Amino acid sequence: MTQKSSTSTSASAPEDSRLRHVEHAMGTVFSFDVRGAGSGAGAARTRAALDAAVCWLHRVDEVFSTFLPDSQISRLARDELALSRCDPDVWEVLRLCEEAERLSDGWFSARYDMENDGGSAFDPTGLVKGWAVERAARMLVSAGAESVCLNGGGDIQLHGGPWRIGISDPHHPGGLAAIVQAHDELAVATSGPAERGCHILDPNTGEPPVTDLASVTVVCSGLTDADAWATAAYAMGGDRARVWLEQLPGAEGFAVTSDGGTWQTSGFGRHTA
Amino acid sequence: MKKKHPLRRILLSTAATVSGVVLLLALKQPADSSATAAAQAPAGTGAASATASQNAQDAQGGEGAQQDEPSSGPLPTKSAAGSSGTSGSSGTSTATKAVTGDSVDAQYGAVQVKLTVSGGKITKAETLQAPTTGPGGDAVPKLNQEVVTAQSANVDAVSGASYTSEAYKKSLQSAIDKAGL
Repeated sequence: MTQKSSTSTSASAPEDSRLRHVEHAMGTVFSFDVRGAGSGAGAARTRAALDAAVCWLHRVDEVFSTFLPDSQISRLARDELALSRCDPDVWEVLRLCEEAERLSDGWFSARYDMENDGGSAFDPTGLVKGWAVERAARMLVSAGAESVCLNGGGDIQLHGGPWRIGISDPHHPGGLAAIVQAHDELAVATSGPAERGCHILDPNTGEPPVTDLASVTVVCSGLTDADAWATAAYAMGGDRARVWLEQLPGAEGFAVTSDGGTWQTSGFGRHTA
Repeated sequence: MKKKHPLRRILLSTAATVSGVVLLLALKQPADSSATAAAQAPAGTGAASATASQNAQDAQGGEGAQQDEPSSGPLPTKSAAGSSGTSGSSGTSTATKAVTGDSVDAQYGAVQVKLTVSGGKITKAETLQAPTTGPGGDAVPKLNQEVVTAQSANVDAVSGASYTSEAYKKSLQSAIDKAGL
């Protein structure tokens, strides 16, 4: 687990103060962008919150990584660690995974079948990153930061603003399919075939889903939900995803289909630039 | 000097992921002339002397010129651009410098990005090392182009990262960090 990081600060004018930080954790890149970081004691507090948020991301990795043999999740999977002895964060993530599974009729699932013994194991990877980012961003807001943009490998939690977030075009690497504008708490998560660490299966067949979507983006207030729901919607594909996202309270969706078309839920336009 | 936000935001967006040409065409955002020029000739002569914006504020002294590794990669460096020095002049424009990102291992080989920064703005992105085999072998030159054109997208971040650009992103981010942008 390498920790390469750097931070740049600009504080030429107090109200203008800004913190930027890039952190490598969980096998991906986290970019912090904090505006209105405050001055004097306020700036120091924001700075401390940034440090804490970075530590938090690495802590989450240690506890939840399925790649680290000594993580609590790995030991839990090998029955070497009782759930009752796990960190309370593990209980919370377990509950959130169950909620997402129920809400999505099983299209999101943190359980997967073991190849050998026929049992099932718990792999919350598909939810943990969004959950960790949501909480890390909140730390900065709690410390007094006015506007926060935290991007964890393409899944983004925002506070304050205004922020402009591009949705990448899966058919044209580097291009954007849409732009979302945020003026308050908002999360933007996109799922597609490039997503790693997810066990996306059709709950009816147990096979990888046959989807006609190249990517699907979910916008709602928190990234835990946005990330899990985007994963579920991607697995559902086509009309099922569209209907599901349409009736999901507080969430809007945007999708790019395999043939290059797009669709969006009825309220998505409120978020677009 | 109040205009620093847009610049920083744009640079962050290039760090978060890359975006670009299609946006220029599809969304008809007004394109910055220097970005466009560089995009049209991504591997050509540098646009180093290009427009120095009023955002030239922080060529933050020495941070910029760290060159971690010599460019030993398979691709020749075509930079006609960088006086690879630091230019501590803050406030006024045309400071040009080159920064080299970390070499990051990807599935088919290492990726290493070099940026040319002029007037606090990325005027050129090139790869010192890039995989020459495997799927997406031609993706990296495109990404170079996109880094530059992304500046006209005026977005803070991009949702929906692709796996293949991960190594590129990492190297790019480290270069941006070193540039103190």
